Amino acid sequence: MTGVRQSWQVSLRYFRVLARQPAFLLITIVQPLIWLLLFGALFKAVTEIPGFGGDGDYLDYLTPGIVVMLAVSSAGWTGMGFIEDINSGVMDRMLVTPAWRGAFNLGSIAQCVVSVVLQTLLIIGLALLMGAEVAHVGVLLLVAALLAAAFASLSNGLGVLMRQRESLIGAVSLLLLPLTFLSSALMQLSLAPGWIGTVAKFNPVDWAAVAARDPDLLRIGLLAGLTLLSAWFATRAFAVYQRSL
Amino acid sequence: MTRTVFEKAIEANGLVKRYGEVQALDGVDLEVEAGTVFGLLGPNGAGKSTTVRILTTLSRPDAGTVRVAGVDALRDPVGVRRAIGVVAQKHSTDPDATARENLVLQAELYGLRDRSRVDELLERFGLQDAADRQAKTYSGGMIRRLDVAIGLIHTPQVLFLDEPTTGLDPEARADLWAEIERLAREERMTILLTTHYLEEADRLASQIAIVDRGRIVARGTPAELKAELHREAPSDEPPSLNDVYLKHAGRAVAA
Repeated sequence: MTGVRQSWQVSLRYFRVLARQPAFLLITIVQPLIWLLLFGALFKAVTEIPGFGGDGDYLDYLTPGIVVMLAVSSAGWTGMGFIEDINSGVMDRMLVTPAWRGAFNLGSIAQCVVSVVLQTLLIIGLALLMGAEVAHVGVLLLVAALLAAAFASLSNGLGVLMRQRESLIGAVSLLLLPLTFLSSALMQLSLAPGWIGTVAKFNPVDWAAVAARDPDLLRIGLLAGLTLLSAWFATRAFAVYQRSL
Repeated sequence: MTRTVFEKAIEANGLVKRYGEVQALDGVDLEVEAGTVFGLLGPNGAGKSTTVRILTTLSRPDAGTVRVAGVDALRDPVGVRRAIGVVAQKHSTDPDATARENLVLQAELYGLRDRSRVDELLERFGLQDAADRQAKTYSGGMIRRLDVAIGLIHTPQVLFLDEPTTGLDPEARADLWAEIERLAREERMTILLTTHYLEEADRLASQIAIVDRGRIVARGTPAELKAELHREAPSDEPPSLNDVYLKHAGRAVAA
């Protein structure tokens, strides 16, 4: 199908940009390592808090949490590519072709999902090296991919609507910590105030973290639904952008 | 790619476009015969780029009709996109990609899988040696040549050039003029170009229109327009296109 082929070509473009920036690649590898080490070390004693369910290391608990954090933060930047293309003139060049418009979003999201899956495998590898146990690897990869796809679409949509790099960076930075802290990514919710538990029920990061540790269809289904909803949002935003030209 | 045969490459009637408070186009009519070079002149903000955006399906007019390459642009924009090539005022190259990668992407977006066209264009525009270096390492002239190559990848029937030689050194400009003349002559391509450079329009275009404040204020061949001015305001020296421009658009053109 030409649409798929075109999406693939578009995603190749984004892959190349990353591959040609060694600094960026290095950060992509080093960042999860740092997070694992720092969070793992600082919160080591968390497992000794009465009420912390399950036995084992905090690292076992933490690893899926780091994965979902990374999925959201990586995906959050996807919209920057769009903004860059709009400002540079590359977007117009693509819009005058008869190519399927969906390819631009899909290509960008595909690149993000693949990157996040690779990063997740890296984190799992690092965690195993550090002596952790990682259960449900398949589900972990799946929820990471779904979360990445959802937030990449969201980022693309916001990027196209806001058109300013600083605004997108601001929005992403603003959201990342609350999304992480109002979930069970780093801490069991039984040990957190009740209101956090309530908010977490509506937090996709929590859905992903919970499902990664204890797979359940409901949460995976919700994530899949969110992915579709975000994709619809990104498409609508792009249409709004096209009408404004 | 199916190529329809048409007499008029571009037919636009009553184009109106408003951006908020600004009336960008206020009833623009254009007609371009197939296989000719048409020059669209006008001051900044006159509506040249807006007109080109509408003709190339990037924008939709608030009112009016548009037919490009025999296709109704409002009903079938995809059909128009298959037949046209665009070289925009802004660079459209991806600076992180190489010339080859830029051309391959564009080919794919047109559904072309044959890479021989890519090689052909790289050679024609003197980019073979730099083909596998990132575009950000290229000189301004090379980037412009790549912009043009990108616009030609699918052998369009109608080519739009929006201020193609702005910012180029004289040699690069002369080369691009020669290429435009060649395309018109050998490939019988219809070319619409917008420009500030009256010398460029005078030399390349067989028909000219001057747009000012969203309306076409003069149209004809360069010779006709100069003759008309000479009749109205006789002078010892025959009027130049600059004189014609000043008369209709009423503002000085920076030399």
